[in-house]
Amino acid sequence: MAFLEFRGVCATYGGPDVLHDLNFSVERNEIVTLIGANGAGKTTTLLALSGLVRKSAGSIIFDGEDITNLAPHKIVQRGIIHVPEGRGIFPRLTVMENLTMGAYSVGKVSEEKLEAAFRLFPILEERKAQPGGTLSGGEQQMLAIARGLMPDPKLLLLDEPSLGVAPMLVEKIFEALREIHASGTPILLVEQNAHKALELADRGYVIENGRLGISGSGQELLRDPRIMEAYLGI
Amino acid sequence: MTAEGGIVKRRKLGKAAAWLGVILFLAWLPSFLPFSVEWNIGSWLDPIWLRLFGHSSGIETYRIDIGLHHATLAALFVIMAMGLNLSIGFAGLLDLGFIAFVAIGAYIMAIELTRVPLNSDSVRVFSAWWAVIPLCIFGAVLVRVALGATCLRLRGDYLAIVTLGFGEITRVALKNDLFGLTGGPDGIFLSPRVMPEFFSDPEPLYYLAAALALLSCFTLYRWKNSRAGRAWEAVREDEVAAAACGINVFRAKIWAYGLGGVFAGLAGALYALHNTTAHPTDYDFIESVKVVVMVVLGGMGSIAGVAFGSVVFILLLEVLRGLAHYRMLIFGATLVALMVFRPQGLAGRAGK
Ligand SMILES: Nc1ncnc2c1ncn2[C@@H]1O[C@H](COP(=O)(O)OP(=O)(O)O)[C@@H](O)[C@H]1O
Ligand SMILES: [Mg+2]
Repeated sequence: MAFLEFRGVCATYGGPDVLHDLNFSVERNEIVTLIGANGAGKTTTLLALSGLVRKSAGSIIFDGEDITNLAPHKIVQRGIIHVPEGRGIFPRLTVMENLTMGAYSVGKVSEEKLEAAFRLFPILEERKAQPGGTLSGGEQQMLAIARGLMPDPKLLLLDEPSLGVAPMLVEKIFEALREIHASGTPILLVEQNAHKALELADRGYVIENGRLGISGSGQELLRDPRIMEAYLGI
Repeated sequence: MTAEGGIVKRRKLGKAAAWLGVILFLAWLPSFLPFSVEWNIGSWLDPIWLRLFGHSSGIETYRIDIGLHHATLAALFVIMAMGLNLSIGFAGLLDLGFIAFVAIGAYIMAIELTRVPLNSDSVRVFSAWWAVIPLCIFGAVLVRVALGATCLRLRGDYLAIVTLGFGEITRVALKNDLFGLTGGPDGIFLSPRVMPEFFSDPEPLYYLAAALALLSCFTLYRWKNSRAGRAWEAVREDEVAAAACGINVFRAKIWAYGLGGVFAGLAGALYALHNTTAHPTDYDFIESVKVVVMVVLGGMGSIAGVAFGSVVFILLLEVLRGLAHYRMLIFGATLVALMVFRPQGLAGRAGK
């Protein structure tokens, strides 16, 4: 059985379903990406997974357990850590306080995790005492990712880490994702920046109007003419 | 490391000294009160149109009278403001009907005191007035949790609207003799016969209120730096991010909101004793606004700031009383100026 499995998941914000019959999986040690246009349902998929959006049908299985109807904090306790879209940090708390908050579910922040995060993003150590809101867009994204690493995630969910980030920092962030993955953390990455995401990912799925379309390995998708036309602008 | 340790130590000493100063100040305060001054201001306060027609308002002196009961009142409002600070300041839950929960405490106290037979020979069930206080607190917390459970799952401004409505409903219900217990528009008068003997002088109530106000501040300080305090802070800043950190957002909100009732109920109990009555007009919407202003004025989330803000607010109202109808004008202008030049309040944390 796959590490994470979506089985016929539909999700709703209270009105009509936004996601329809989603089936996909993530294996241990994989980076899987969902790519799709703005409004396709990428964010909703991650919110459904972390319990923040209601599922109207289907089930989500994580590590052999049905987590479909667990409360968000329970899902975090299972080790699924969501790095929210945009500036999902606490703007008035300092960088250090943000990181401490990330370790809320495990009690205390571990020195080891902190050091690892600072090795990944040295700029955060420099800005330790600064309010999160005073960081640049890219630095805030780094902070959000570092915060997500604090509880030692079993699966990391990333919602458009390249959104609103200067190109040079996008490079750095994707480099960091590669390292996080290399150290043994599976990643489910949601991106509009299809090129970068597919380069990084083992496998990818295309999501369109709340439904899954083409899927395949990252390399396959990068070469797929339909993808090239629709998402890579080639 | 040692230099840092030294600075921390010195800062802690400084803080302890400041608190000691506050306690001493509160302890000696009654010997300085009442404080009263009077100035001759001639016709300075008369509106221009009165002067144009050669009339005079007759107000020629400006008096400031501050008595011990103002100090008591300030202490009671510090307790209330701490309760609201917990909701608004810590957890970001805007409550516009806070005074309703104070009213619940006050009415429970008044009902208990007046209903218990006063026979000097018989020992009463609630023989001691102070035994009623936990009941006042329990009542306020219970209603608050019930109300919170219905609307804290909703997002954003719903709470403000619901609490605003609840505050008005409560006042109207009390005025209409709720359960036949609240005495209608006359409220419940606590005659000297039923007032606890302990309060026959004003000093004991002052010391009690001041001590409890300090205790409230201290409690909030402890909570702020606890695990729950961090959860509240996260929820206030960003709910989705808080949930992503593994915080049970609804539970955190219910706790912050419900615990605010402890302070409301406590302050209400003492407020009834202070006023020697529980009267519906004391629990008007404007009273809720006052407490909100204290919290905002002092700086949401800051404990010393809100305590200071509450005291300043009560004293300012007294100092400006001589201005009669100009009082609220000047007051409003002061608040607007403050919000323009210091939006985070006297001691709040600056925004992004
Ligand atoms: N809070 C919400 N309430 C109702 N509908 C929403 C909400 N958020 C998103 N949607 C709708 O869900 C669909 C998918 O949105 P989203 O998952 O945010 O897309 P993406 O992240 O791929 O850009 C869109 O049609 C959007 O209008
Ligand atoms: Mg999105």
